[in-house]
Amino acid sequence: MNVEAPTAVNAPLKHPLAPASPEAAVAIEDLAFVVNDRRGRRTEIISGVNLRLEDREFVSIVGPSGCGKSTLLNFISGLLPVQSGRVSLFGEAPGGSTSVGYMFQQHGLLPWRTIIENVELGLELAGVAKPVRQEKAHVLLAELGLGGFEEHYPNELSGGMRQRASLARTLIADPAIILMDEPFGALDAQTKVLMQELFSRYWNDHRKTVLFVTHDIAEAIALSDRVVVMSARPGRITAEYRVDLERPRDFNHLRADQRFNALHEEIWSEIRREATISMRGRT
Amino acid sequence: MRDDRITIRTTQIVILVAVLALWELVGRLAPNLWTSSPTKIAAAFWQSLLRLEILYHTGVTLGESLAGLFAGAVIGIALGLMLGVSRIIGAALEPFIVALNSLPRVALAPLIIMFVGIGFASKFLLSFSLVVVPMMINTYEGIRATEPILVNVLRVMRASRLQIFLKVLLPNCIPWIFSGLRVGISFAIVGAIVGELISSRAGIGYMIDTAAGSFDATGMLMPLVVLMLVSFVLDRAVLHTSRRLLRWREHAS
Repeated sequence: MNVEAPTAVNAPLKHPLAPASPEAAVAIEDLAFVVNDRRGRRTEIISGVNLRLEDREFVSIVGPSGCGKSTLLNFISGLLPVQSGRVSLFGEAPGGSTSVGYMFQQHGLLPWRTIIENVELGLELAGVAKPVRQEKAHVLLAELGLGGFEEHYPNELSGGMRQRASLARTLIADPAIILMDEPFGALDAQTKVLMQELFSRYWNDHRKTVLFVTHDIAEAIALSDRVVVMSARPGRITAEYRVDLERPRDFNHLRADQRFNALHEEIWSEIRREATISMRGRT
Repeated sequence: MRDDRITIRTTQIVILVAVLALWELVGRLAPNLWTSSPTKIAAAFWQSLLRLEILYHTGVTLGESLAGLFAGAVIGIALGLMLGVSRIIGAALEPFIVALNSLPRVALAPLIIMFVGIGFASKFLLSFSLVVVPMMINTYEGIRATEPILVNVLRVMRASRLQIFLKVLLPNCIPWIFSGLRVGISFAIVGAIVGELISSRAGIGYMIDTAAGSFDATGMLMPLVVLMLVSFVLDRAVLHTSRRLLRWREHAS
């Protein structure tokens, strides 16, 4: 495919009858989340978050740890009920007909199931016949470089392979929206880059709506169409950057690219500014 | 790995032979009422076997304890699952379970015998009461120890509560259930023996009690050794089954 970073104009492939007012894949309006901590104090986890993801757009959220990035994903996935504000996926509340894939930092594979049984899980729950889901799982595992490991148990694989299996499990049901919470965060540096390349290649071929949470700025730029910066508590979106690097991207030479480095510098200074403010605020 | 195994086996055989030899030696050099000796025990076993006595009494005790183990496991697992699945029932009943568990249930024996008599029922109930609580607690812990991320993975996939139970919570309990069963075997046998010792007409405990009446150390030790071997074999069988079923827990070599 030779598609530029999708914009509102070329996005509405999913709704060909209504190209004039395309619905956002993910629309978050004025989302806030307050919890009472152990001592009964109100703590604002996130506050006034507005975010819109177009169909087939790849957006990353970067920010300091504890800024509520994961909380945001939990709202979109429907794991957490919305407390205040609005979240919609293609115009529907989370938990509706839009299929969502969610990949966590921990692989979350069921240890008593083989790799292929783990990958099939989503289809199994949906009642897909065994031969059909096995066929799909085989194809996907081969695509992700896990061919031949179908019958292994998770604890027989390396961390990188487990994470690839977890990716396969997330992708098998062909979700319209993919949420990823620091999926490569626990991997060693080399494995991490290989996983990024693998996923980038997959995205180029399949073009899904992706919301990718990370604290690695380079990772965010390398993968995304757009990078969103979140501040520390209460988490809110403070800046947004469009990544104008053509795809497919060559991960080996990205770091030598002027635009990559300029953007990296810009985002980093924004995060540092935010972190400094919040640290001052605390003392 | 291979060499380690051979070393371990050799050590085990050496220990076994040494202990038996020492025992035999003491029994022969200083004959007395209470030490008996391996050869005396073996001879008594043979005599008893010819009269089918030991087989009968072992069968009785085994029947009582296995029935108690089976019933205790079934009810215990069911209760544990119920407690684990319902957050409110589990939390509400937790202190009662802990209290029940700290009660020395063997002490219930006289009461149980008073209620149901000295036959099979009292031994079965005693075994059952010893087994059911640890089985329930183990199963309950197995559910509570489920990593939340595994449940979340299924929730994101829109799994129903039943699917989450069948595909995550239940399999997560299996190792816990097996370790409960291994403890349960010896508890069940303890229950049956204690019941028999207090009052009975048959079983290993009855044999021991009868022999004790005539200060017969060999007669007391022989059925115990037999019972020990039988329960050892049972434990190995459970261990073997659990290893086969829980292959996923082993690490790649």
